Amino acid sequence: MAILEGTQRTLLIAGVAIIFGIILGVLIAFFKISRSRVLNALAWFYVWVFRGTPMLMQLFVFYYAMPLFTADVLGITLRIPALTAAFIAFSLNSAAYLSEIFRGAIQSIDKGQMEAAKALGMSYYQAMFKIIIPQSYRRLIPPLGNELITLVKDTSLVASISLFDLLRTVQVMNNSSGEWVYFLYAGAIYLLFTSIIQLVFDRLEKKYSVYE
Amino acid sequence: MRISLRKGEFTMNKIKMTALILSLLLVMGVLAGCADNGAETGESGKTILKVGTDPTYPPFEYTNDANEIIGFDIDLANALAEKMDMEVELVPTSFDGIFTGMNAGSYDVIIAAISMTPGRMETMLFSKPYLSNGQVILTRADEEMISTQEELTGMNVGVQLGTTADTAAEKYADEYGFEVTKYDEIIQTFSAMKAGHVDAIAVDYAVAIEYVQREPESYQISDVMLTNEPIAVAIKKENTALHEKIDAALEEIRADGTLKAISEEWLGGDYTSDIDEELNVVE
Repeated sequence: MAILEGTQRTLLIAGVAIIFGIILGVLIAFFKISRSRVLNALAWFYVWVFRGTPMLMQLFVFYYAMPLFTADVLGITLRIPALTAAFIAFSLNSAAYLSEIFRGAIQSIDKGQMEAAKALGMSYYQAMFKIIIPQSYRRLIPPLGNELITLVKDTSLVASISLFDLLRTVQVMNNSSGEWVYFLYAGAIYLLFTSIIQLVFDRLEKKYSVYE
Repeated sequence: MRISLRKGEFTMNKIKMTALILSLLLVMGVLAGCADNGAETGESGKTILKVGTDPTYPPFEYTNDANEIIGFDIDLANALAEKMDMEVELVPTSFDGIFTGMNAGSYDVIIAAISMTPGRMETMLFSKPYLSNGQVILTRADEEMISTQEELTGMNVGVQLGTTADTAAEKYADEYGFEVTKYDEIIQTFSAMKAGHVDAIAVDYAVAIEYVQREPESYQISDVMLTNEPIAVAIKKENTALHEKIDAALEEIRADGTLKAISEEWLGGDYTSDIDEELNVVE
């Protein structure tokens, strides 16, 4: 069934993007709070570019512009297939937003925690990974859930690079039959998945709030 | 209801008043937007002819640098309206929803390089055709020219979603063994072909000519013609009165040479005479 394939596409792109986004996001967050000026600048630049430009534009760049650009400048044509371009663009974009979420959560932990940890003889990294970061989970769970929900819905932008996600599939069905009820199906499916995400994150938040 | 404004006292009445006023404003705004759109008259006092079109399709309808909508179909619409003593109001609509819009009453006719097909003729009326047309295959200019449909095997063909090119390519895809990639707008198929995502494009003949004319070093038209589907004005099924008026107006602009002039201006030649009306369409 076409709607099923479209749903799978949507979930696949959102899933891949959030996983790679988290990995890269954590890295960028650390760069930003690191004491190295070079890493700070790199992280700042990355977040500035990927948060500051439209998601749609980023998709266009990876799908349409990349092959032409690399052909002109490097002589070889680096062509990325549509689905891969979607994975890359959404992952990089998410990472930018997520890195700020992570950074905010980490920096919101009382400075006294780090001082106490150091006083107990822990190194900076030991303190970070054993004391600070575990405490930051509680703070980052709501915005993380938010980002994931937004991501599931943003995947509908892939229609512009020839991919059939849930919304585009439903649009085609509506246009060929004139039945608007298909949009209700799509709405229900999006709602189902965002509700599942909400539920899971509520549980997670409760779990990490035990000590508050 | 007393509205208490004493400092420190936060009464529900003040909040209720504000909420009431805001909702009244909202309702007024919504009602203003739902103004009745019957047969209105334009500034000149003539009846308005609402024309649905998708201005992303040069040379038929597209926007110039000054963000005005221009093109073959625009000049055609204005010429027809003049003969019918009406005024054109363009309603830009995305192509994949353009027929739904007409059925919903957003506009009376569609002038957007609409090909006549038996399937469409069952759900809407068509004027007499005003342009000969068929779906052709375009390839990159630096590739070998293809001349038969068999040579498409193993290629990836780009089309615009929801067009007759889409339907034709889908049908031949299995027969000749090629893939079809569907894009929302026709310009995206050209960008995709340049980038290498597709190797060929199926599109209306006149559009192919336009793009090759703009960038002859990038594209070439092959000898492969997938269909024969002349272009006509689409009119809502029940609107037989308007149908007759448009056919009459079309006949007039054909007779006095206006139609030919528009064709020569936008397409570089006369494609409006001797139209092959025998449809060879894929459905």
